[in-house]
Amino acid sequence: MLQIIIRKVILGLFYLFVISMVAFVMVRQMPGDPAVLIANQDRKTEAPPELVERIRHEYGFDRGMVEQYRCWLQRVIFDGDLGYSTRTKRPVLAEIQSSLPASLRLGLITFGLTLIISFPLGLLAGVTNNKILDLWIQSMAWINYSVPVFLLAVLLIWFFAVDLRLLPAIGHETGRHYVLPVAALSVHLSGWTTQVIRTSIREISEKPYIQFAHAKGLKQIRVILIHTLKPALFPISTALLIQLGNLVSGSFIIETIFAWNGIGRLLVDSIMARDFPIIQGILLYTGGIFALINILIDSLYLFLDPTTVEKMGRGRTS
Amino acid sequence: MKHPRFQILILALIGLLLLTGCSTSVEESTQAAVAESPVVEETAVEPTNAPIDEPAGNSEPSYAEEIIIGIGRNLYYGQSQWHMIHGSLHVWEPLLYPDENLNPQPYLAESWESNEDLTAWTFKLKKGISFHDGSPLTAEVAVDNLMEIHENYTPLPTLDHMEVVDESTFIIYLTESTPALPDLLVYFQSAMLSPGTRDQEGTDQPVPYGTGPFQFVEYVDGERIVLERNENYWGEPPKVERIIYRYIPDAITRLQALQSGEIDAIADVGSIIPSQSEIVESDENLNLFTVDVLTTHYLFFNNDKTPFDNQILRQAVSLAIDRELIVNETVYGYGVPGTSLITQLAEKWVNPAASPAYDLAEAKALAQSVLGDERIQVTFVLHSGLANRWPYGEIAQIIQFALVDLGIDVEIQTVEGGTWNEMLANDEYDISMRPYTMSSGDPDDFMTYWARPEGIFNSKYSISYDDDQIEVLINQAVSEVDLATRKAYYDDIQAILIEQTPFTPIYHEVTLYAAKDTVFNLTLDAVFRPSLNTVYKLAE
Repeated sequence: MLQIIIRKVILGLFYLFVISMVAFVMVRQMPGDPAVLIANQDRKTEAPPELVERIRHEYGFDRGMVEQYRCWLQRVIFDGDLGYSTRTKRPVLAEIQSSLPASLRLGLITFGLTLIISFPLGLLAGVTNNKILDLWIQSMAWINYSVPVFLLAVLLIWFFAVDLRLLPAIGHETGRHYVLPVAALSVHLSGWTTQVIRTSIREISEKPYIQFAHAKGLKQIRVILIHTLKPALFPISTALLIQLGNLVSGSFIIETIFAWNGIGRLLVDSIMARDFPIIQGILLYTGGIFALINILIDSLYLFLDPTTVEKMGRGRTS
Repeated sequence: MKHPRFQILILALIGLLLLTGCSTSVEESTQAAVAESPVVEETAVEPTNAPIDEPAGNSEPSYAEEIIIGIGRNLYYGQSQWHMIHGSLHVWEPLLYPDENLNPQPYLAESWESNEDLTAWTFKLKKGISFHDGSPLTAEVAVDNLMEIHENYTPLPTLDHMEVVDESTFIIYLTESTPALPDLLVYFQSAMLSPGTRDQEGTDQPVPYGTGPFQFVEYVDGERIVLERNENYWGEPPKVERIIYRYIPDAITRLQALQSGEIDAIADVGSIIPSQSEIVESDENLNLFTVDVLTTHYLFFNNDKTPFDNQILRQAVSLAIDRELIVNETVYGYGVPGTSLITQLAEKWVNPAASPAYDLAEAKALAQSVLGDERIQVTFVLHSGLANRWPYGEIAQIIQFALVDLGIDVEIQTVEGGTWNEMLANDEYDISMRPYTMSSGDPDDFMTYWARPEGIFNSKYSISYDDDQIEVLINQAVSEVDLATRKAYYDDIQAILIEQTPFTPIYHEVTLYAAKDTVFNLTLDAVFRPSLNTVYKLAE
């Protein structure tokens, strides 16, 4: 099992390398000459051509794409240096570090709450197939997911902050500041995750061995928890962990509405300003998160079903 | 990844990539770029409805220690800008500052005078003024600051050199008569920061040391700037101890934060959008104010490309635009129809005879004389960032509708900022829009940037307007000593530009700002600085 996990880690690093390469190329295909943008940043008069050329040379924009990428990768791997923001002149790592904690906290708390809301609801809907409770849960789930998150956020602020004055609308200084953004995101996401859990439970429930278990007279609770839930955890955990990846990669809309300085807002601001080093840094972080989640999913599969070891081992060596 | 040989090959390639040498240091590059870092442009406004009031009653009111102001943009720039922090925050102060008529007045400078032909200007500084780090404001420091601004921000076009005479006197020598020199040195153009401000290379959060009534305490990335009263301020000390600028990018949340009482005021350019005015007015705890700003929104043509290389067609488009309708329908009346080429606030320079008119019949006749019965298609490219801050989308639709009768079918394309810049630079547009804010009451900078062939907007956006007569007139106006003659030159320039229509004004901006009813003496002045030195809030 350890061997497989090590192999997964190596594969994850390789994916990260590919992601970094693709991101590097894509970022440089964006319209706008970065040297001109940096040189003209807030100038009233157009930067002289010699200044533009100097910046182009100093930032290495005058070199070939492969050369630029190689230098960047070397610095990342050997020095842990992601470069400097062209907009703020601060190290990319410092910029990411100052935005990351807020996004991580928001993502993790939202994920926890989403699980608490959607797991029992999805399970309940799955086992009470097509009964009133199931239909009601499904309707609520679709409504939650259909309401745009920004609308939900604005409505929550209007009601709880402006009208009732119970909760703050902006910032993340105290626990109270987390209530509205977490609620907006969790309510929205729980709609989707409830549906995923319900569908997975339904699929397993319709398998012949479950029907057989029922016919054999096994207790309902045992059939649900042991024979249905365990196999259903495979697709559920995959979907949920991908959602976790999305959450900790930042939510631009929520961060903007609630005035949080998070990684999602930093990415969008950087794209607007063509701040290539920051964009690359964040894409690398996001890629790393998903590579890690990929490893987590595989590890979870191995843990839940040891026979996967054999399948994975075969898959990699045949 | 099924073949081990493939894995080995990939690993070998990565290894090769990493082991080869890499010449330029990114760190060095960044440091070099820091040295080149420019500063921001500032807007200027004239206050209209100043909410100056006093609390009623005989007993001494109790004042709040802190005021929180919501803004929609980040005003701390760190090393990326010369002055590090925006002028609105009263951390640094300028040598000269415009009054309500946009005339330059002494601020840190005590006085100035020029020689007869206006080629040497002697400035005297107020004495006994120190920066927040304790260092004194001297003539040498002032000259260093002005040189930095000249080299990296706004070049003084006729500067020859500067000379320090004594501790508080310096002279600016110019290559030719420059009557508008004081106008060229107002506000941002003469921001004074201590030498210690520049000696913070590599610091994570450099501190701007100014001479202002508030000193910088803290900046929390993308969230807030904290300022504290300067107890050693050379002028009248502010009433409030602490000001917090809270960055709230979303306009809806910004207003909701004011309504919920989390912030005390919203006071910055474009921080309240016109469609929110009714909400503020209907809230009994809030006061809404307006201020005419020096910003004008312009429609400009690609003068070098068919069909708008034809002056008659440009005139037809300008005549077809109902500017009053645009102001009423898109900004809820919070604007002034663009009936003068430059902002109406620069009253002494405006030529009232040079005014774009609305005449649809004349517009149709002109278009007919050029196009006959043919219909043409043109591209109206909008910058998405600008269209988010101002109703450019709606304005473009009104113009699109008006031009249908002229035989011109307009395709509106809204693109992201970088693409917009690239499309304009590459001639891939016919019409576009952008705002422009005059930095003082003098029209020199506007004419230079827009009407000279090498002007930044004229060249950067491929407006490609080039007229010899205009070039001669601008040169004469810039160095003309006699005020009346200078005005006559600018009158002629405006008349020609309205006639030739390389660009045309749509509306002059009126900005909204708001505060809780417990906040007093908050105004935005002629250059859009909030009155932080006089504002106060009653304790709640």
